[in-house]
Amino acid sequence: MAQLMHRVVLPVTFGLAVLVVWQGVIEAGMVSKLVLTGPVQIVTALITEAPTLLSNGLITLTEAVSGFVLGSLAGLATAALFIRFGALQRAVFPLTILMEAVPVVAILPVLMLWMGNGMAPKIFIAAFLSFFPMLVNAYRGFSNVDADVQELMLSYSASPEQLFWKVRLPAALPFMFTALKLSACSSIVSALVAEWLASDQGLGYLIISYGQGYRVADVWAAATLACLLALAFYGITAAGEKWALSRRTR
Amino acid sequence: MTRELWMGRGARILPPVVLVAALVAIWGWSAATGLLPRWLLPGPGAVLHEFDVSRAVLLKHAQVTATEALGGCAIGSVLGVAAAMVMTLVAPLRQTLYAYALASRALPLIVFTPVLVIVVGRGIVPVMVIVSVTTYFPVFLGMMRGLERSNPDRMELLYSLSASPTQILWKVQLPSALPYLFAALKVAASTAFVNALVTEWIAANAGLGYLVMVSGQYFRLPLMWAAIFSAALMTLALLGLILLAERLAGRWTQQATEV
Repeated sequence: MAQLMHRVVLPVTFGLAVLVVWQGVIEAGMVSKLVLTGPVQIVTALITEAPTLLSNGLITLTEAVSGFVLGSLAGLATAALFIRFGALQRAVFPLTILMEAVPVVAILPVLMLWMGNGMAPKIFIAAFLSFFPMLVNAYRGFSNVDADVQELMLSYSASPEQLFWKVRLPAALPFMFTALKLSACSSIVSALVAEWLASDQGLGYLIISYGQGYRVADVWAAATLACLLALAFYGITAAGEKWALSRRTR
Repeated sequence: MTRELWMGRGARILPPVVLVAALVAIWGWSAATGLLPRWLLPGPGAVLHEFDVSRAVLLKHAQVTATEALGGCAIGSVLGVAAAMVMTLVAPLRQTLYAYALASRALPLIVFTPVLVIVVGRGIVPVMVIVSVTTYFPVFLGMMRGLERSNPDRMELLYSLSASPTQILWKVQLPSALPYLFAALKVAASTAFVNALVTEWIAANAGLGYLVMVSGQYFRLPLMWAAIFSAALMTLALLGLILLAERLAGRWTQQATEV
């Protein structure tokens, strides 16, 4: 009971209190309505603008999820190649860590020149950002095999392929989900941000155009929807992790 | 011994260096032969030349981005560490706010940039605010995790010596949290630059991100790539500094724990 009190009641009460004070400040006219709006107005905007918000949100989600899937698969395949060909790994792996440190999103304007302002550059950047976490984590997972198990497999004269599918891949599963959870957020963010630069559709574009029109409540509504989408995507990935790991242990 | 060390280091450093050199050589060769169209990617010579010609412009914009990224990163990190320490000492505060901090990991907080621009206008301020907020959460969470995972035996020992919670925090929890803090700082450093560059697209009229965008719109590709490389170099420099600090701090905690 005390546990419930601490884990649920305190945070929820705090959240509600913030919302009430926020709305109170707005209603009392302490801040100009042109600058800040209240939670009630944001929810109203979410409802009245729902068709526009949802159709644009769907575009952003499509870009993010396509990039997420493509990038993660490519990262996984590259990690498998690294395991198979050690020389490749030694030459390229330090570079991939370097690439992770470099602000890759900064080359988005270049991608726009190459691929136009449609969905392609957004998918590409989301894929690019999903690629490295998966590569690094999957490689770590593949290498994380118990030496005894490996020796046992070899003594049964298992082929490298069998070793990979039966031992390495299951061992890497938790590591892979760590990468997926990271990429779930970054793919949404990168798709949104790419839409700022050059786009005529998507949630990122919508946020900018609302902002330029000083439609304060609508900006907040669009940003809130973006947060909800990201939370949902993260939640689905985390649920997938729970499901996959519970199946594995059986 | 040192010779072996060098050989080991050489074996580690050599392959990537060779690969980078090969990539630059292929880049230069394909640009020179016209295989790589100039509108796609100008050659390394053209980009280097641009560094020389546009030195003043690059420096001016680099200064803006450095201020935003370093300033924001510093503010966010200090606040994150301070908040983690306060919440370790004050349980009700932790129970109330920790859930929100955890949720923030999944939130694309950068989408609130247009909201900030409406409130404070364009310029360095909104960019710095976004950078500090996006630095604050990972540093706070990393620090929290580090503080929670400190050695329970040591903590109990100090507790039985009737040390105060503040003393335990300083003597046991803080040194053991440092590796977690540095891991978080490394992530924060590169996201600080990325977020500064990206936020500049819509919230500023200066900075390397702004320069990349504008030079792209005017098809001044060598300048665009020079700006991109400048941003990458600054990120790597900051990461290098953090690695150095980590090594120094490691020496310090080793001494502290040995005593």
